[in-house]
Amino acid sequence: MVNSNSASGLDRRQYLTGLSAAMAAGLAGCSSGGDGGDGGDGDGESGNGSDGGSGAQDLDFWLFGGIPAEREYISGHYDSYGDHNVSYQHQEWGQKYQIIASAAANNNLPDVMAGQCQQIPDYVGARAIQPLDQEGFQDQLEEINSHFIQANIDTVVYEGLGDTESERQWGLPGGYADLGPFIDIRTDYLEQTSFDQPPRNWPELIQLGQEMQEIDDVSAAITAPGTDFGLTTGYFIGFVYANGGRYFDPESMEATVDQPGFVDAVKLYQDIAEAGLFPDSMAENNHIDAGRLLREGESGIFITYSHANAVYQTTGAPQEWLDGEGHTVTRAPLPESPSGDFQPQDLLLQNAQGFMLGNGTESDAERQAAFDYTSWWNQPEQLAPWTYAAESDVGIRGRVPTLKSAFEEPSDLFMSQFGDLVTLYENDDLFTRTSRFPSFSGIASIQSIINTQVIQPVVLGNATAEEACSNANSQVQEVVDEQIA
Amino acid sequence: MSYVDQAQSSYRSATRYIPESLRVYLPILPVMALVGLFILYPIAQAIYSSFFTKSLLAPSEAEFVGLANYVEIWADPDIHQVLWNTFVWVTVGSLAAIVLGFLMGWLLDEKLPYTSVASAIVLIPWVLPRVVGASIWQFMFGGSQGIVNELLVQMGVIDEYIVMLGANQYSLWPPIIGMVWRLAPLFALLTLTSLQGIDEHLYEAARMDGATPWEQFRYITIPMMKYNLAIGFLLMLIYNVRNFSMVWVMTKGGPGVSSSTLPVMIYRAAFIDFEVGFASALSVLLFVVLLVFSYYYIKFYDKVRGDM
Repeated sequence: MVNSNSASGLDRRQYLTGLSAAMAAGLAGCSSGGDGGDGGDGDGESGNGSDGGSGAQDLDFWLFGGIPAEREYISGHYDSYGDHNVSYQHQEWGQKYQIIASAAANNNLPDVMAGQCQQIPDYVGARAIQPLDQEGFQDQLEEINSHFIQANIDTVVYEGLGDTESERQWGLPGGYADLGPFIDIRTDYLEQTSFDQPPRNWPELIQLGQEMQEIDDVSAAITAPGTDFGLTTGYFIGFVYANGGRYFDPESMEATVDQPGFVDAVKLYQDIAEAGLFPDSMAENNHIDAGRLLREGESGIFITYSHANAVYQTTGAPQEWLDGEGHTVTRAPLPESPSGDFQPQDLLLQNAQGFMLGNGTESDAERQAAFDYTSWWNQPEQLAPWTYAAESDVGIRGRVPTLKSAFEEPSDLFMSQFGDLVTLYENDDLFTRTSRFPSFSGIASIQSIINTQVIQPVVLGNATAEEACSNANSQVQEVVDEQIA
Repeated sequence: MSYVDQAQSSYRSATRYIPESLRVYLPILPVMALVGLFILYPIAQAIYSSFFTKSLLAPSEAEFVGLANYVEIWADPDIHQVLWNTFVWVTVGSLAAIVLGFLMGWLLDEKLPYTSVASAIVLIPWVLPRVVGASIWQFMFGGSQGIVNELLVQMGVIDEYIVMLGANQYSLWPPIIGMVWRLAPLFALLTLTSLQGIDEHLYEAARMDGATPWEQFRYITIPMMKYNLAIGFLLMLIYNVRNFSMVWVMTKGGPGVSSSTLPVMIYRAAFIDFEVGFASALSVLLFVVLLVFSYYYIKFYDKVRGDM
């Protein structure tokens, strides 16, 4: 028999310890570990490069995400730059916010990082990166910029971010851009319809879908993801921009999700769903599931980004398919007459592997070295694998090159991947009405709202476009008020 | 002098300047320091954070808001659905796991052929990494090509595939099934060890007195196992309340919040909305729920020890 007093006393301690352990597991991730440091100077003006020649520096270089072929190329090539000692780490794309927040709080940021430039405002907010166009770097930067299609440079220039006031360049594009909205069409199904080219407007998209729906093997003519917040909303938001809609008005800071420009784009999804062209399982499909439906012939059209072939690459598609055989990846159709109040944009663009100067640099010499390393990565020689030049091919697919030279002298492989884009480029119709993907602090939160409160209820038939947008507008306004205004 | 005597003597000598009342705590000081650093500090930090608006990406710009985060929880349009989901998730999931686990443990205790092999197989769900198990179930419940749908069609239960993970009315149930699959083996093991601990003579005596198998079960097995079952049940409740991976991997809490539980809501608040203060307040709510379950767990544990 146990002495009840001592047992009781011991158990109280055990109790406290036990419940502490249970809670700690749930809470540890939510506590940010104190206020942390400021992660360095967000303005970064002190980098004049004056002592840049003071010998080899130790640099930390982080890459977020990337398909296997890219990771393999970068991990095998990062140290070909011999001037400095570079330590490379690949970081999980899905954990980017946590990793950056933790690194910023612990003053453990890298000197150079490559990742999605859409998050630049968040990175600046976390004091994780510094501008590239610092005094002493500008001339060199101008020369590097000249290699790229201007729309790519525009996506990494922001006004008034962090402590800065004027327009500043926060990154370099790296090898490729993701463009949206895009569609991928099975050519074998397209040939069985009355269409001889991809649809160019929304009514044509639905008509093509309806014709494809008649094909025996097709269970749902148009496939799109419905669960992964970033990509589900990312694939969709291009339709909104094309229709002159936005999440909010940057002048008045009023949410505009309930305005015609946004609502009518949601109505497009509603029309597709009501016509029975979306799969019943859309609200449980992520982008890989959605792409799989097209590749396996259950669907004929995949609403996606330009990265469709990169998605297929992760599902083990045969090489011929990845090279473009059997399907056409091209710009999504546009509305016949945009109903929104904002300037319609045919195409949105983001550099998903753009290079940024991290705030891990601790001296002018290190900052200069980090800039030199960033510059080196953004030379045509290093970016050649993303241009599909035969001699540089390392197996990267589904990426739209950022270099002008890739479009001006397109390789056969590029043509087989994105021939339609080259045609649009030659007609000066590809990057004419282009802007970057919506990019502001709080974007992830708004994407989550649009995914769960608008897209999912509408495709499930639980709400009309008007109802869903009206309900979501106030939530978007809250995010705008709290995180942007 | 024995080794133990030498050790005690050395300890006394080394700590002779420390008062007797404090000296007893010295051996556990390292452990208490670790507990303080890795458990108590994060808890205190989370409670502290719950009184601030604090962005994950800019924690230094935190602003004290008192109880505003707690008020916001109750004003949140999703909280009632999430709490209800958590309640269903915990009670239905735990009860189902216990019933199934009990049956499995009972069968394993019977002297049937290949029970040792079966015991090993039964443990596989528990041994598998959680995310792997959840991914398997997600694949099986998929609405476009999931094997569960195909099975139901083959058996004539349904005419055509049903979307389960992506439909508001069903989305919570596949993760519950996945969780039962994972937890039932644990309870089976608990049942098995409890059954093996019951003195066979008790059954022998009962049989001699003419007790039927049901009476043996009712008057011997259940009373002998009741504390173990109760403790197992409470442990399962505690495990389920804070379970995150099964729901997140299978449905991400959607569509909408139709399958969101409290841990999923905490994750979304902290790592998608970056609202660390609000997430911390939710965590404190979860802490209170865990506190209640833990209290009853300890009470039962005390009673078991008292009865032994």
